Amino acid sequence: MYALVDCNNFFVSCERVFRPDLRDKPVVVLSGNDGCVVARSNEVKQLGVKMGVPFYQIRPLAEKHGIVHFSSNFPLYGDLSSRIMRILSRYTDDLQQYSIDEAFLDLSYLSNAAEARTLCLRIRSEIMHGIGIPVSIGIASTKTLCKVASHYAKRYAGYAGVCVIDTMDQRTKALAAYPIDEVWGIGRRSVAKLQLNGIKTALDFVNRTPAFAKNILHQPGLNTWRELNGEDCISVRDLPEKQSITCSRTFAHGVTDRSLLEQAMGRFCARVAEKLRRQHSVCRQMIVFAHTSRFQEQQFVIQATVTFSTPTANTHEMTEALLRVVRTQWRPDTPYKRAGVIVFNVSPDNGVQQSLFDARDRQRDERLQQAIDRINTRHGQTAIGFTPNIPTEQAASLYEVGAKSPAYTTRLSDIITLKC
Amino acid sequence: MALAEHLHAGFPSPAADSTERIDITRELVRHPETTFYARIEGDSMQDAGIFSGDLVVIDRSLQAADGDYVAAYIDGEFTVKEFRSDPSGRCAWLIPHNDAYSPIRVDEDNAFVVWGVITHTIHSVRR
Repeated sequence: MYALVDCNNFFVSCERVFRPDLRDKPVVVLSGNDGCVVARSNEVKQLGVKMGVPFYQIRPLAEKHGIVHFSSNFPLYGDLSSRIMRILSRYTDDLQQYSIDEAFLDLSYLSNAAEARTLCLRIRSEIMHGIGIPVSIGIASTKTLCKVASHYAKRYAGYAGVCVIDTMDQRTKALAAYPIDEVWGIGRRSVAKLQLNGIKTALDFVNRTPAFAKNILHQPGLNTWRELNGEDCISVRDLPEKQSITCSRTFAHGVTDRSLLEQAMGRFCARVAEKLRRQHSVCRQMIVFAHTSRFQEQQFVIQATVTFSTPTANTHEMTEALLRVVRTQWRPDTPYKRAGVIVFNVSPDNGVQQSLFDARDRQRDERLQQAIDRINTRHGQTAIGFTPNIPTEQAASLYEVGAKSPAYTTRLSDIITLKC
Repeated sequence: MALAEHLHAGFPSPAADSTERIDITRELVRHPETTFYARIEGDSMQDAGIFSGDLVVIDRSLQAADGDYVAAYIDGEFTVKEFRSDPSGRCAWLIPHNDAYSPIRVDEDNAFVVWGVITHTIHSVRR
């Protein structure tokens, strides 16, 4: 038996923890750079605002209904997420975190669904009270069914946030009302194929033969079919890792100084490499870019795609490549307004095959990298790196911040004030 | 005697084993997952030893009991006061510790939440 714990409108809920006045108000969180909606409160969902729309398109609606907007505050969301995950890990030996706001708990040590429900109600109130984040919990024999259950837990107040799919009867009823395009693991193209075959709900799909599922959707589709039928066969650890990772920022003022631009981009590179290493993967290609404002008559662009002969997640190697690009393409007296690093062609790091013509000492690189990671874990992410650190006072005003809330839990100068 | 000398040369320092130190954070933060920090501004709690500029440790996992100092959110502002429930059960009181202020009655009409329970205050004595 598994439980899926899913935080409701997570980014919005994080903002509300420190802004209790926004409890019943319409709130959106925008992606840092391009201002698209990445999280919506229920009030905003009811107004018909879709995920991913650019904020300027809904600005009139936002003004009319007093929608409060925030830019993404990832240090805050990341911290509250890890607090929640630590609480959850107390209740299982096997916690499989699926995203920043979702995790599966293996509850097979419990003897029945009623016990699981009682425990999950307690977990839910512990997180609500202790951190201030509302969660929905779906309990079932497979992860795919947990997803279905958590969907109902979220939508119907009668479940008090915890929905169980246990008996055959419960499963049939739940799947009959569940649109096929909402099923976990069934992508857009699969949906089209299934709909062509007259399948509208998850129950329609489950009622077909496994041979049909495999024929149309291949092995992953068959696994989904089995899971919907109550057979546990998907592990979160086997799911594909992120295929690309981006770190990019808009500068508050155009950056003309080459070394400042290099330092900023060096940080992006280090962040991306850290993320790769954290998910134990390496990349084969990296895009490096910087450009002047889109609103200027003549635009200048630094852009190159670097291909590594041996896939890598090594900050030193990636920074060297980045600096080569910047140094050959950088133009003096040009105000660069936005810059970033994107890696793609990402694969698991299972003993990299060394290229025949590889001149790097990979083992030495790796030892150095591990030493640096250890120091940065202890002394802060930017303690040491391969490009000089940007002076604090300069860093504070380097990036455009928009409507970002304070780093309430990760920076001492940003903690809340109690007036008394 | 020879044995003692030998020990002197080769015996590892008994102090090398005790790498443990007092960890003040562990004392102040019993529940790291639910602990938050805030800065005090104002003098309404000065008789309770909570001063402007102090850093306070808030544990949200604790249930506020009568006599606890709480971080409360009331009518658009965070504040610290002593929490008292009213015997009638219809309202609660936020009690300041400074004669210049009067207790605040809170009921359903106020936008009011107990945000967390204050467990420690950290007052810097050296400016």
